[in-house]
Amino acid sequence: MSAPAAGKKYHRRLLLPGLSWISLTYVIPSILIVVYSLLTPQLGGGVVWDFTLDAWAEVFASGSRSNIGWQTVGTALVFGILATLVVSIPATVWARSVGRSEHRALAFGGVFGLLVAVNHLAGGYNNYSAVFARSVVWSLWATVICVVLALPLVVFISSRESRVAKNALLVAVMIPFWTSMLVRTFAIRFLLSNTGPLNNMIESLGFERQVFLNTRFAVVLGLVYTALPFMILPLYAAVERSDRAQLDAARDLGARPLRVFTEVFLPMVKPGLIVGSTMVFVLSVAQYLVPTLLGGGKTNMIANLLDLQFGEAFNWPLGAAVAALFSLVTILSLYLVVGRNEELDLA
Amino acid sequence: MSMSSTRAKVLMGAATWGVYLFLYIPVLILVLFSFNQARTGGTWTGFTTKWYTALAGNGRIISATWNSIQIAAISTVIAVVLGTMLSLAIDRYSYRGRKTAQQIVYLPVIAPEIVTGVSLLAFFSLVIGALNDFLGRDAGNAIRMGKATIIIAHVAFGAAFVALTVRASLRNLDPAVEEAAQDLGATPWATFWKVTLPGIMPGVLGGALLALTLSLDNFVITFFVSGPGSTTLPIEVFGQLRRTISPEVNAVSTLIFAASSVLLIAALGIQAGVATRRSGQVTTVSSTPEEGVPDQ
Repeated sequence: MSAPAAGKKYHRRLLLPGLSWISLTYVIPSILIVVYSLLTPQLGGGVVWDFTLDAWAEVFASGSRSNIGWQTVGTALVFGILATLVVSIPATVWARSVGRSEHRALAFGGVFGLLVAVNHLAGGYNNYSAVFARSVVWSLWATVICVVLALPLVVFISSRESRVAKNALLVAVMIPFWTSMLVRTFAIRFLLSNTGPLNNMIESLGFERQVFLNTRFAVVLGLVYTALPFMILPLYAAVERSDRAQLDAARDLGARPLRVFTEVFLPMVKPGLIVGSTMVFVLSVAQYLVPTLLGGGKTNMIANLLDLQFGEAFNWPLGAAVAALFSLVTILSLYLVVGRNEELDLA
Repeated sequence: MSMSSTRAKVLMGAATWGVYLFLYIPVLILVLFSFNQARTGGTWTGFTTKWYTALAGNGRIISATWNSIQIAAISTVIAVVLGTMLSLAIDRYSYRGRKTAQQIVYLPVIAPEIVTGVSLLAFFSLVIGALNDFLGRDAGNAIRMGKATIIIAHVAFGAAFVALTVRASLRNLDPAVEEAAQDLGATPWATFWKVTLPGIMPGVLGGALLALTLSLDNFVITFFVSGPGSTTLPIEVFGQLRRTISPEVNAVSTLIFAASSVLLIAALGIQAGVATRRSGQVTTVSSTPEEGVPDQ
């Protein structure tokens, strides 16, 4: 059945049921969402089949124009540059590591940054670009913090001598990785709540109770908490694969610790850093439970915006436009960064 | 990294244990307070198991758990069959469009759940609306989203993860063995049952456990495709913890945490079994560092 040399082609029969199932639930709904974004909202949910560009106009250009001032231009610039960096740095690193043109990677990042900046400018204080920007910035914070927390940990694990110790430490990372996202997010919510254990401890030490929940701090903490294993595991794989002799050689030749770290260690674990950062970022930017349970409010991050438009606000075309734009950006950057590189292949 | 000084080593060890504390303290506090006497707040007032007893009488939690188990069991069985077939089609044959097929199969692994959720909501409401019109159902007896739509969604991502896991096993199974079986006269069907399936069984079991866990834990996609009467455990817990702070929610979260830890250890046990068996063989299969790390 499965030997290629058998000559017979059973692949169609093997492929057809699963492929059509996944196409039906992932490909067709994605196309449908683009169609929905061009329709008219129906009161109480759903759509009326009248074509219009209203939803897209609202995504890109709603908000009061009179608000555009230097501050808007400034933040648009900052967001544009940030977005460019976010996309072009990993893209360039990837392009270099597989020997492909770096210009295209840079251009892709530039286009993305321009889009973000224009989006921000066009909207003035538009809610939607603010939500997009906030999601991106918070997820970037989470990514950076995860890198900082994961680096010493993976080096520590991989420098253990005994195989058993290594495995035990790794399993200890994987248990939270497999545990329900809901439980993990609730754990943070419980810990930080106004009458929760943390505040009780603070009070018993003689300080005043603090409001931790429904703050940016709580959301970023939750993002880091839920995504950290996704940084640790690929980074660990990269460290294990790296050549320790090179580190020793660099040190023996008199390189300072910082130089060994930036010029020998980081390039060696680059593939793991790229995969881990991409995973953490993509997971965080689409998070629903963390901003809902730890952020309060209604439109903290993109997922809340989608929930709002498909739920209470009953503007499905607007939600569809946001979803289409969001998944386009996510899937494009994923394929660019990891999908086409055999070494970093998700499969 | 620069490990020349002992001080650096000590610092790194401290940082590592700090991260482990960060990973575990919130969950452990949650578990601890599921045994707390007081109904509200984070002050320890004494040990009790009454919240667990209360769970046993909580009809909503019980029926949600039953729904979750039904949905996970059915979708895992279908996902394992479809996913194994997909992995064979992708790994053992070459044909035009194979790469595209592979990219479609792995879509559920990379697509943001929230986008999948709202897309499926749009898709199912369109299909079900058309179906109701066609059958002439009115509001009273209309077809609605429910267990069936949840299962359809869970099968899709389950199959993708099973395909991913089984492929890892297939790569370690030399196609020459299957060819030999066929050369010796085994039918393709017999080759599959007697040679291929036993060889990839660890991958199939690991994939099944992964699909089961993902289905039991799934919140975001399920949230958008569920209907009245099909509330799953995560959806019920989410609703309860948004409404009230009650140690009952801590208790049910503790049980979920325990169940997923058991499932993980089972999955790792299977993988470890494979590794031992493989190292016992004389084959040249070299183990890569990522083994034991689930693909995501």
